[in-house]
Amino acid sequence: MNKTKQFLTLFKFQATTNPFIFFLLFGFDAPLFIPYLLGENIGNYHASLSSLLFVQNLFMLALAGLFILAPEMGSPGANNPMAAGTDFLLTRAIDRPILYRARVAFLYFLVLVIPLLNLAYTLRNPGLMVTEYSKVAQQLCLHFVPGTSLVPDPSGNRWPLISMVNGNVLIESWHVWIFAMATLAVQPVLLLLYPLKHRLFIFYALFVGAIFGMLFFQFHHLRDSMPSFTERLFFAFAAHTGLFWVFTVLIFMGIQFLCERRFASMEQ
Amino acid sequence: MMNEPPILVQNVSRSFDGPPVVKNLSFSIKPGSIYGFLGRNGSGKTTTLRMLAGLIKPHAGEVRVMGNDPFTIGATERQWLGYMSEKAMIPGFTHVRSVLKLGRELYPAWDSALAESLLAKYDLSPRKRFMSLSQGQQRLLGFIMAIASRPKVLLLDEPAANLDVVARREILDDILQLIRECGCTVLFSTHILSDVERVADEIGILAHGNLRVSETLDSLKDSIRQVRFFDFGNGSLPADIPESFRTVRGKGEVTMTLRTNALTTPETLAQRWSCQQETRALSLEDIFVELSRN
Repeated sequence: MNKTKQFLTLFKFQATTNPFIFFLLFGFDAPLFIPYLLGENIGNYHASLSSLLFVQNLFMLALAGLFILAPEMGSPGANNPMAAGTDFLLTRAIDRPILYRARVAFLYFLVLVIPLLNLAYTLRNPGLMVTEYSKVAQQLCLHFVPGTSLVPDPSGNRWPLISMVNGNVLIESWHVWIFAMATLAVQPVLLLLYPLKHRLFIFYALFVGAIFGMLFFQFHHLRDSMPSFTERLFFAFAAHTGLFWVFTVLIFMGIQFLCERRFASMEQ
Repeated sequence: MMNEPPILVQNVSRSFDGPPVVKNLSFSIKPGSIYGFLGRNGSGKTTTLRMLAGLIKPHAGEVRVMGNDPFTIGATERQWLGYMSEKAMIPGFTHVRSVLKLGRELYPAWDSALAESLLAKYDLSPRKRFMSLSQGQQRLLGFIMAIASRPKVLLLDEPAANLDVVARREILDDILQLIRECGCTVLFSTHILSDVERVADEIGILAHGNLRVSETLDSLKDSIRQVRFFDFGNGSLPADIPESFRTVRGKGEVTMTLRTNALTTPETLAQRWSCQQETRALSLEDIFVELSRN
């Protein structure tokens, strides 16, 4: 049986195994999606650049990755509905790497579908005006983000607004990229933890650590009023979007190659 | 290799963070035969089957299925290997029809008519989710998935567990039917000795990770005897002998579960030890109990 047919069969099968995954991912994407439903983000103005860039529930990706890429790691019970039957699938007529590839594709599909829809939606209204109180961030934005200028705030606020010609598109591209990168990071972490005896405990320790780590970085940034790491990264992304995507694709191919090989050689 | 048996296990050992679960295990299964794998809980049956199914690797020795290492084989070779695990590991929310569709799409030789007829026979609704099936029905679905791909080698881990007598009989009949139709080689593990007696051509008894015997049922029943030696002329009890699986010493007597052969018969032993002997033929259950005890 050819690999494409195997891949499609396994990809479709993933979708039937656990409906909760859809709820989880919808919940995860909802903070991005709801403002669009309410008509807030499609406007041309947003009160804070940093809050636009920061995705507070990025850590949820780790859970989605766990349930899709290594379900037996989190729920080994035979009759547990969350168990995705890795034993069962690995003993069918498949090539081991194809199962992992299908799971990865399913994870990316679920993670990226809403950010990509959002991106498509912003094409209708690409322009954005945003408030940025940090002078340094303001200057970096003007320097790195193409099509930006300072305009007076029409509401009379003494802080000028940053106008970005394709601001909404850029922000949504950023979201797509940050989700893709986070998903990329989840893959090797799960496979590195997989053979360990206390893998689930270590996973949740890292998971909780990541949540507090992100909060810490946000508060740290608020205290010193300098551009956060996220903002700096965004400016670099805006200046070299094409390059970022090229590197992302290359990293993805490398990680995917290594993870498929590792998955194929791992015992269940 | 052309002459290699479909299932070959050579000097295999495997452990899980502790003492070996399987120790220096060796056996092979002839094409088209049914091999019954007997053993108590924790004796290493499932570990052996998981190695043969390619889910885990042996730490020493090698396992080969149809001439290949089952851990590294791809889709093409796996088409001919049917496996039913001890635990039903099909995702709970999956509908029965989705599971069958998976089989249909992955196996070129998938026998839809057989799958449908078995579904009807076992009264399994395609619209039900896997988790809503009883444990017995879950096993039956696992069996259908293993058998409807028309495998050349079929590995069944406790196929009759949680099944009622009727379903158990039907599964055994279906295995026999499959063998009649396509000469499939079957390895199945079980606790149920009557199942083994009903269908197995050869039997392996695994105890504490060691394969105690591996031979045909008739040969096993013919060669293993329980012998009580008593009235020792010199008053002292004999030392243990290699042919004895189990030796129980009593007051002035020794009871041995022996493998007899042309040289070692109860009579020759009684003559050597200057004593009387009393021989008892053993049923499969007796043999299993004797060989599985510590």
